[in-house]
Amino acid sequence: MALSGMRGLSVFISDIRNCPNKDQERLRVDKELGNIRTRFKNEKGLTPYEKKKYVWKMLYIYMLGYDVDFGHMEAVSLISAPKYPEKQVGYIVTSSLLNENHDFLRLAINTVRNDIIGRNETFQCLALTMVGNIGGREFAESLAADVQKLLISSSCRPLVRKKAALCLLRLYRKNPDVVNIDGWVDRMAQLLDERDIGVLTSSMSLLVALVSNNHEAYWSCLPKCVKVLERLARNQDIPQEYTYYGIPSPWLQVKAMRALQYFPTIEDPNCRRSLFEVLQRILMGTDVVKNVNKNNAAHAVLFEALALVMHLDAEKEMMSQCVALLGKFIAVREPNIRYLGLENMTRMLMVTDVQDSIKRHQAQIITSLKDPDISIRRRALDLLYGMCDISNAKDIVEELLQYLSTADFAMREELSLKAAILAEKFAPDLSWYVDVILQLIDKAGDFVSDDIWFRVVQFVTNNEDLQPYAAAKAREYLDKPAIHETMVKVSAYLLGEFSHLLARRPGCSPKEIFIIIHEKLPTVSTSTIPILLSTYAKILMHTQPPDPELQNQIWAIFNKYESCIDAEIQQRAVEYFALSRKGAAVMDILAEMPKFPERQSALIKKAEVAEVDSADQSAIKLRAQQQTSNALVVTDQHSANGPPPTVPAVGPLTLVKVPSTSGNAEHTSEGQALTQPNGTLTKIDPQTPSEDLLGDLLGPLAIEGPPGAAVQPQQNAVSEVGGVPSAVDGAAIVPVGEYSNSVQPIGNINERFYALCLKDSGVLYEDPYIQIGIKAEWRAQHGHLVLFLGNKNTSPLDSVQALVLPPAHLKMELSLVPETIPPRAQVQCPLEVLNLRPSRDVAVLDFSYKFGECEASPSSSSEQISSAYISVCRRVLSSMEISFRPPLKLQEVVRGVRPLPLAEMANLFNSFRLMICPGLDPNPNNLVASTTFYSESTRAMLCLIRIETDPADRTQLRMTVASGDPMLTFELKEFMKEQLVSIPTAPHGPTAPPTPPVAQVAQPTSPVKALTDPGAMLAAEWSFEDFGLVTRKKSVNGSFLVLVMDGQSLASFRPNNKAEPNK
Amino acid sequence: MLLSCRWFSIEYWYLDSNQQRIWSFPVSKIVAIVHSGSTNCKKKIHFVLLISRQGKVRLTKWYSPYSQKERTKVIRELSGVILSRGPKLCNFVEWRGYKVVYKRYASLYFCMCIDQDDNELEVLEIIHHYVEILDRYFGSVCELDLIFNFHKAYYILDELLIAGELQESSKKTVARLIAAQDSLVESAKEQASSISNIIAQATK
Repeated sequence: MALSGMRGLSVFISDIRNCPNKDQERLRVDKELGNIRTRFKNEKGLTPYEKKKYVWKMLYIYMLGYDVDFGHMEAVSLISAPKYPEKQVGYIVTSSLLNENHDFLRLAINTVRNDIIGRNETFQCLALTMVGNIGGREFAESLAADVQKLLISSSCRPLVRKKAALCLLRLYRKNPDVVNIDGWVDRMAQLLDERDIGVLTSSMSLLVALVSNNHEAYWSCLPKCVKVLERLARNQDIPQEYTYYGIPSPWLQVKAMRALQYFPTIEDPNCRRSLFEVLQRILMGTDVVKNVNKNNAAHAVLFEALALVMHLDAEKEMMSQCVALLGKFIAVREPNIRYLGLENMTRMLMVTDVQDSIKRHQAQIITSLKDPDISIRRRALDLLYGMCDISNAKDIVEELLQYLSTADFAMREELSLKAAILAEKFAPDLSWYVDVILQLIDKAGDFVSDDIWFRVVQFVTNNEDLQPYAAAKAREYLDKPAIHETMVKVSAYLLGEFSHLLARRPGCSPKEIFIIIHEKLPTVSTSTIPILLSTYAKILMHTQPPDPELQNQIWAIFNKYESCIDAEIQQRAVEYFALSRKGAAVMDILAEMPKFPERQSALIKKAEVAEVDSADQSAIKLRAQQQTSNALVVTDQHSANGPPPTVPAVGPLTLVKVPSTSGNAEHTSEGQALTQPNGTLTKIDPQTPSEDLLGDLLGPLAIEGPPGAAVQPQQNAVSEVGGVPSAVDGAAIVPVGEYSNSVQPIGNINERFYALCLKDSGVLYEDPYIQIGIKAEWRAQHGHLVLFLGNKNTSPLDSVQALVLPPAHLKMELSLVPETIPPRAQVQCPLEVLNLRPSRDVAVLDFSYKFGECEASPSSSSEQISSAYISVCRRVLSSMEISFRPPLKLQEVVRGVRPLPLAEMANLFNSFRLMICPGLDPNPNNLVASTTFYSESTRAMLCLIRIETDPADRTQLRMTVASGDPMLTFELKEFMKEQLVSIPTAPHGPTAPPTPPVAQVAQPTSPVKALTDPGAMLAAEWSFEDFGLVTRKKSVNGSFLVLVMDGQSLASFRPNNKAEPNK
Repeated sequence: MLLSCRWFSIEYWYLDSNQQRIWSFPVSKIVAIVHSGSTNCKKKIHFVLLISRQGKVRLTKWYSPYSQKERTKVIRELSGVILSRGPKLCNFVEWRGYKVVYKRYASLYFCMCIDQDDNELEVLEIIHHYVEILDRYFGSVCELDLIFNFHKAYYILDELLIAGELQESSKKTVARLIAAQDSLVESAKEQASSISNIIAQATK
């Protein structure tokens, strides 16, 4: 034993050990630190030995948890000492005290480089070790080439080369862009022929890193890995010192198998055969032995072999062998093996066809859920979660619930979330689902996140059959003496909404329900009180005829909270109080909540997001995560306009909008209230509600959204009048700054969008890496869209994510988008759309991907999913007897219109599937079109449009729109206005025929530009052709002229003239 | 470069957020991610920790960049988790999305932190391998040896692991290299003392 004692150091350590308490220790340490400081200051008198001793003392003090920053410099300076003992201490202490981000390290780079390229082998080793442990970017830049040379140098001894291999590995891992690995394929192959196991082990680690980045380049290393594995498995030519408890270097075996897992398959039949022989031997030849270390080492190899077998998706026989082995493992007593058995069985779930054989072990796995070891319990939970499907969901979830009451706190949240997800995913019937969630809240209220109870509320609201059951259940739980606050929230909510369904049952009169809920009020926090207030308001509303006593009680409560310091509570109290005095009118306002739009469970999203977090916390995912948290709460994508949803249940509170029917102004508000059915108390904000959402999410791209409607017309008007080319538009609106660090799209997204409004297929978005195309087919209110994601590169696009954010009126379902798009491949993703009601809001496609090593560039592209079917029906005109009055018929004078010859306007209308009906109007300057609009709410609805133009001033026109639905009329009118004002086609020279202006048109504001208009002439011709029709129509409808149109979301219409079903 | 930056931020994220991770991810997912090559910044061993039963730190070695503050936090948290585990449990603890493989030898806990999908048993045997080498060097090693000769423990660890990867699996080779280092230090010392003797003699 060669213990070169440093007496000073030993004395110091003894002193520390003799300190009776922490204070004494601190005193002793402070004294020592003071001493070291002064010694370092007067460096002159310091011998190398003393310097070394003080640096060691510093490391020791550092390990005790004290700050020794002042000494970093001394440690680093020892590196440049000329003698080995000091240099050694310098290197080791530096690499223990500092990490790669410390600036001091830069001071040492030159010395380190000199040591590496110098002839002194021991210095080389010291330098390589330190760089390998804490080398950062600057080291990679200045040293990588030298280290590579050492690794392949034939004059270097193995002890240097193995360190060089790992040093290079570190530099490459940290900065793959700096380390030049061109031509390394052959060198790696050579290194794998190495005889020295130490060098081979290090080289194999390096290979794993290289292969994991780019397996294609390293094909030639594959057979070599197999050979190494064979050599080890057969124990050929392995020196005794490299066997570990009789097993030839288990570590190297594991590494070789790890490297093989990065190659997708093994094509060479010989290679494959010999590999499978080895694997078979490992799988069969590993027995449980007494010696712990031998057992561990053998099983380390075995589990790696299992992973490789799974990866290669070997023959069925071998797979079932693996499952059998794992089944054996999860039942053994040895905890490590049991743990790994469960873990690997979870991995095994990914392999098809073995689920059934895994299910056979269900009972054993459930036993492991009760294991004393939390690590094992976690694995068991994970496995149960993974293997759950419709057939065993009931058993597993009930088992989880049972376990919940005894589970340790560290696991409860995970457990309850998983149980909730499984219950939702695989519920055989919905009442069971409600039972499970309520039990969850009851047993582990603290660990049930809000998402879980939001979800159950959503379910119950959307399923009428479930409502009485859920309300009755909630009522039962309220009888319990002490219930969790979350239970108070959920039962108060459910009873507020649905308690009237229980009215006949005993103990469920409004009064009784009020009393039992009110009992809980003193026990809850401020976040729950608003929910209770809503419940009271609803109970009050449902009490018909009013019960004066109850009314007084509740009013007293509202009164009490009117001065509450919490703004939310105060607002509710005041408003409910006022509302509840309105008597029967309250019925409309406080009616039952509308159904929630169907969407992916936020729980599952949360789980997915959390999973992704582990590997990749990119901005886009963070964003998605933030969004989910809102998504569940708020039924619609409003928000920023109203108060932030601090109390999530604000949503449900909302008053149902008041149907308004008179006048144009009212209409505007209705249209907006509709898109925002969930804001707070009928606050109608003049801004379009989705503006914020789009703005937040898409930044520059939001221009396609409704705000465009507000902004664009003016802009266009300005640019047109001033004669500015229309290309400016896009640029003017896009905040350029937002683009700076993302990928530049090719072409103007805005223009592409508009083009797509007129076509059924085309390119939606394009940048240097990807092209997104779209193709649409419409049948009544159902749309079938296909997104074509094309990778334009020779390397795959990773982390592809697409998220469609549908506006309230569209129901959209995007099929799964693959995570990776292979090089030069195109992936098709179907997207199903259902139009619910008319609106101009567009859907947004939030799309992101990662390309190669460049940063994840979330290039979100907005996208229209427009919808419109217009089946033109002339025959419909016969139904014109219905008299249209506002709000069914709206008329407006539109100014600032892009001047357009009539024929072109007619074409435009046709491309929106607004069928022009020539000849209906005797005035050749007028256009009449008709269409049928399909949506869930309106079904097929006939729409008529008439445009009266002023030949003298083409920048203005009068538009009359009529349909059977006020909202549709309004939306259609707005849509047409938008389109006419801002069509992005190249402006034609404004021309006008010399015909006299139509009477109603407002005074022209610009001079007459030209005297002939071929379009108008053409239109005149048409009208004469169809003159008979016109006269007939006129007789039906008086002077009003008609255009029939269809178009569902009016967001944009697509043409499909040839496929037009003439219904 | 970007990738490595991303990697740092992930580490920060794990260490900074106060909330304990509640998730243990289905491992299957992780495997899929690894194989699709999106997390290619994997490391073998993130750090090595020797803690005594009383929670005193006997050795720390960090292969991933942790700031001083983070280091302290990690040590505090992990000693809480590991020291409280009873005997006869498995040697793996899931912690903040990582796994810590630990083994107790007498009064000392040897801990190594690895990624979720690394081979746990392999690392467990690295620990034992290290202990065997220490044992051979000190001759039946005990905690006191490692307290008073902690620098030796560092030397030996550096011969065993670099960049969190195993560099040498032969005990004999490691022993030989350490012996060579020792003799280098010894001879330098003798040289120094002989020179100073000469000087002392000469100046007498």
